[in-house]
Amino acid sequence: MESIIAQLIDGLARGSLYALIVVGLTLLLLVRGVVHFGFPYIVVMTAYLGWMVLGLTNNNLLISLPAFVIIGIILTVATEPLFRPLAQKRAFLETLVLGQGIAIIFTDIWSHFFLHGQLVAFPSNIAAGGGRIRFGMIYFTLADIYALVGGLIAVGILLYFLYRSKQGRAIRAMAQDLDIARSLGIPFNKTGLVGFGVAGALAGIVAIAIAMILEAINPGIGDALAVKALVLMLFAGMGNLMGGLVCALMLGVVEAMAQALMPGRWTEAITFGVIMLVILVRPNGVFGSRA
Amino acid sequence: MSSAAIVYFEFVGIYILLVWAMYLPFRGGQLYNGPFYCMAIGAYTAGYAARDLHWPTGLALLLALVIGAITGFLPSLAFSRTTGIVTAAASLALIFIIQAIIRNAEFVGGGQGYWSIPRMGYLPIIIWVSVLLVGLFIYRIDSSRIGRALEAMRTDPALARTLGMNLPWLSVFVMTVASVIGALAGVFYAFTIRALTADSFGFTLLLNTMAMLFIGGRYTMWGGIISVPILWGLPTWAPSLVAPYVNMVIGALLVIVLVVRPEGFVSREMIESLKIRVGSRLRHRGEEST
Repeated sequence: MESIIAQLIDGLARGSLYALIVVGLTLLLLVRGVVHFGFPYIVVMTAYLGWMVLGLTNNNLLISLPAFVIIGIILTVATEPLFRPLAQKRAFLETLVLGQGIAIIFTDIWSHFFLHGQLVAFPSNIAAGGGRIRFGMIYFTLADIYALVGGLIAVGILLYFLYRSKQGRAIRAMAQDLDIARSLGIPFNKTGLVGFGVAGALAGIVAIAIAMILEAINPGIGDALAVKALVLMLFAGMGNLMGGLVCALMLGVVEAMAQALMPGRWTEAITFGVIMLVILVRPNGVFGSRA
Repeated sequence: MSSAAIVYFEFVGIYILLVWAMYLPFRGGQLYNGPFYCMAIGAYTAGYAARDLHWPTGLALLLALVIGAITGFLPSLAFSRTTGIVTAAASLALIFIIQAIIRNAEFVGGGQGYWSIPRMGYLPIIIWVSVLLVGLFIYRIDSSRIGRALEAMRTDPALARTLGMNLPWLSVFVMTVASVIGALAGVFYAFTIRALTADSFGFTLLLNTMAMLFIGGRYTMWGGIISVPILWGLPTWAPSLVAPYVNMVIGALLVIVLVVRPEGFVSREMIESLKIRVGSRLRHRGEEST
């Protein structure tokens, strides 16, 4: 029983990592109508650069943590002009492939310039959130708690931004009908930049969560996160924020349970198989589509 | 010809087949990743038949194509109902599933990989004859009723349906044909490399093929013929300073092409105007000679 509780906590923490990436992808989908497949890679790139900043500042968290967020914002906003022509043409599939181009570049950068593609481990004051907790047989890290609470706060702020602020309303208007939104005077370029900036801040936060929960990264991690996030977004229903959140948390828990209970290396096949079947039966996702 | 040059020609042929396998469903607006899954199945079937069952390589190739067709046909029944991003992302799952199955299948080496696959005689010639035949087949499809139906399906599915076209069966047809081409590429891959691992058929292969299709031009079958030899030759032709970073160059090219020239290097208009120019020159020559 205790081990199941520990797995559950671990799964929820991992799930909140997926959830934040899915939320970022959904935000970019709403703001520009693009499937930014490069976004999870930006998250991992932020984690790599954050690791460098940690090294340069002697593991000073006061400097490094804001640096993660700033790097995330810069990298994400820098990709906005690339997507603009395709977004205006509503070339949906092409935006996915453009993201794949970004994925190829970033993965190659990690393989060459960060310890030649070997495992990059984060220092002990950030990895595992700086400590581990034990209740009898239940054993988890502070990072699991931070990720869950931090994830909830970040999503709360994002929802407030989307549904209460003027910029958020502009983004949702553009997601509903670009032409009408533009004719009402909503600036296409500026709103897009703000949306990408917010997603970038989220990328920084996810990168911190990666440093805390996964504790180490390698070049293969971008592919794993990106494919899961994309498939999750479809599973929940494109553009459905809350659906994405629920499904991401569920996937985290299912993965953690499967790792503990199932023998061999079947976890991935079964997870993807089930998700594929559900998508094929319900192409609009389990929660339908709102975008 | 040096052995490096032969391997280069073999790989260019294999990748042209793969790019065409992606191109065919894309004619109908579907970004379908099934060919990669069938490539793995084709490669392992041919390898197993040739090494463990001691079949002649030609027979192993035929068996792989039949199994590739069956395993390509089954998922296409489901994917013919979906479109756009749903097909693209859900068919990704096929790749991860087949990789997991290979890693767990001990009779083909499991996670250790599958080695010492026998040689196939006259391989480069067989590859290029196949490329020629598949090319002719796709050219025929492109300029036939099916090609026009696929065009209608991509540009306006609703209109295509009102005109009485059976879009699901059209999808099943192109996806199955694409899967068989994928399996063929897999067989050639197995006999060229002669050692297989599950990772060979993963995400990297998909990204590289996608880059070749989109850089070359995804609206015509000629795009791949231009992009594959150039991109495959990059590691050898690029200056030694750039050569290790060739993937970065391919990624950057893909991004630049999609931003600056979204239709890719070879566009449909380019081919049409070339046809008209060549046609008028031939006519001109014909008039002169008479």
